[in-house]
Amino acid sequence: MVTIWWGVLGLLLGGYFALAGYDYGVGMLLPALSRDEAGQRRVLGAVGPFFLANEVWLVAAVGVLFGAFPHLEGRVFAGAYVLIVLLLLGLVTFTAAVQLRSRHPEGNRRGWTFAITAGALVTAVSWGLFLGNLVRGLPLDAQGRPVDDVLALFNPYAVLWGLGFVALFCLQGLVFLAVRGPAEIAGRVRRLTRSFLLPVGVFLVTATVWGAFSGGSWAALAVVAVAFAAYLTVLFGLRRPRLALPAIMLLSACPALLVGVLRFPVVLSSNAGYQLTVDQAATTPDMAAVLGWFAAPTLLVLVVVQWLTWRAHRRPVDEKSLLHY
Amino acid sequence: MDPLPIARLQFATTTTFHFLFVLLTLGLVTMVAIMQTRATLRGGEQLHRMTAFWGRLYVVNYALGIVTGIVMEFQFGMTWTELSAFAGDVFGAPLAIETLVAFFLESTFLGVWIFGRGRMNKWLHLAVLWLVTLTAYASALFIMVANSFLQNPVGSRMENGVLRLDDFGALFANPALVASLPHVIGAALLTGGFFVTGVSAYHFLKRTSEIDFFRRSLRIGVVTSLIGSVLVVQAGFAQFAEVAGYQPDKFKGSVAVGLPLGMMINIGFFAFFAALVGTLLLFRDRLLRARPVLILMVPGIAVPFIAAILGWLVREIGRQPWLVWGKLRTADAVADVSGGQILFSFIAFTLLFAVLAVADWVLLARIAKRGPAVAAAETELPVLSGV
Repeated sequence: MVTIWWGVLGLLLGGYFALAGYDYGVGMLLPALSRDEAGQRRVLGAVGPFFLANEVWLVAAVGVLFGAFPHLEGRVFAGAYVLIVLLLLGLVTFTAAVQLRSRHPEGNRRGWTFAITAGALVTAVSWGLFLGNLVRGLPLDAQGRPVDDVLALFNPYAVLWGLGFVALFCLQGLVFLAVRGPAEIAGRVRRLTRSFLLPVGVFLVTATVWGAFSGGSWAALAVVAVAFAAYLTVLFGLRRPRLALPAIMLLSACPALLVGVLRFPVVLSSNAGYQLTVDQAATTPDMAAVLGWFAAPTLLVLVVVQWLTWRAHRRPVDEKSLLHY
Repeated sequence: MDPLPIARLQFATTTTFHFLFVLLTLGLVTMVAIMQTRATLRGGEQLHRMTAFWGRLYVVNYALGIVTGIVMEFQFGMTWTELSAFAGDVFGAPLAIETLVAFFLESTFLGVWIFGRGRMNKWLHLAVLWLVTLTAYASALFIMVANSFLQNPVGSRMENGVLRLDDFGALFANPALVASLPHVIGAALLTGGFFVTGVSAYHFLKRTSEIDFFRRSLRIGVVTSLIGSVLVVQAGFAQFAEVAGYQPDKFKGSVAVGLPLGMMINIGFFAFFAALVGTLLLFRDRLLRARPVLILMVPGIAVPFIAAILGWLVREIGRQPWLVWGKLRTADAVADVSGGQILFSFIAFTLLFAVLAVADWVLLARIAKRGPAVAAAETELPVLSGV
């Protein structure tokens, strides 16, 4: 039962990265993709219909983390405090700026555009730093309390992940735009895509080789294999964006899945030897059952509604598209 | 540096910002849903334009509700580590259900509504808006269930130093919930009603040419304010009997609780009489010519927000020093994060929220002032806009 909830959490977090990852990529590259206002609105309009739905996968994931794993939530957020703060600052700036940017027709939008780009960048870097730290082991003492050493969170391995996530989300945003972006930026998207392929590949190889020294499980090996397969599909499937897009979405979900299975059933470990298992982290079975009654139908409705949204807006943005953002 | 006061201040600030936005969200979405229902049933261009104009303001306000809500959700783990460890087995479920059922669904449906305008079957589009409304109310329900548990931890027992769930149903029959939920919903309707009334009054003061548009809006605003104020006052007083049962000493001699309480009650009565006078003046549209009343209605937009913050202070300060009443002290729940780090995040969050809130309100004011006519003209731009 506990394992199933761990899987639900993995599904929600994986879904969040698979979907919201391209929001951040598009956000980071917005000024590079189009200079004029109408063009930038069409770029934002590409993610528009999915934007709100994408972002709240994280809210749902944290809700399940709190509800199903109350003994993990506090440890992990307090343990990476500064990174979570950075993440939230980026996330809030980005999410608010996307929603408010185009709401007034005569308003000056340069500030909002900057907020979108900067917010998306901070979000991507913070996610990379956070997950990188989880792979390596959070800087907690032997009792699982955070050590008062902010710089420990910015260790070289985590910084590699921070930079890697920027490249990964940018590539994801570009592959997404190849499917749904406006026709006039297709050439620019292709050129930028080529320049991000190598950094993502370097990140994958370096993170794997470097991370292999800290050990892992067979399941982790499987996730890494899936990640490389997805990367190769993107690499050789660029001419078929509808194949490359699911592949890069899968690739973006892999880091979170890796963290989930790396030392399973240990779900949180520190570099000072603290370990928390999934059973210790979980809530009581009756509470999990209550949660299940609400979560199962909700997730079903969500997947159906979001799938229908995808189908309704699968064509590239053109002059007839509703843009809103 | 002691992390406790800063962590409390940080959570209080985040919650205050969140509350300011979600209250208006809940009130406005109800009115927009009613407008769109009438538009769909009877047809008529005017009601569709009203749905679009007030819906546009609703969507702008919604943005800040989302982002402050995300930060609140994370803060439970970031600074109140022991709360989830101690009470997570009971408190976690309503909070998780709130995010899953309400937040997640609400945003998904809202996206469908925004981008479905004019492109979906009109009945389906209406149903989507009602789903947004229902999930918003579900959100209020579950978050109040969670909050009421902190005020009065029912349905649970202590076991090995942590709280365990006995009866999930008891969380919904909590005396701390039964009167406070209608009180909060009344406050939301009042806030939305005063907002629509105030904006409409502004346009009459500016001698708008959209007389029919704002006459109808004003009616909806005034009537909603009346319903909201009756609910808020009635449920407000009903809480005294309930609170006496679970926090008997709450109102005894504490200035920190008594002062905001007195102010809130006065504002509540004022709002009720104002809404009553407004409703009486609706006969034969006398209100449209009563300029002194219209002038008062514009700054009146702020009044329910002030009352709401005061009410929230009464409820939460009255709970101290307990985080979970009688079970877990706030001081024992704070995380082992250093005071310096929490100070950094407190300053950063507060500055960011302040900038975004001001930007959001300026945007709301500009869109409200511009009125519906120009809003329609925006579709003439090279790119189309939704709501």
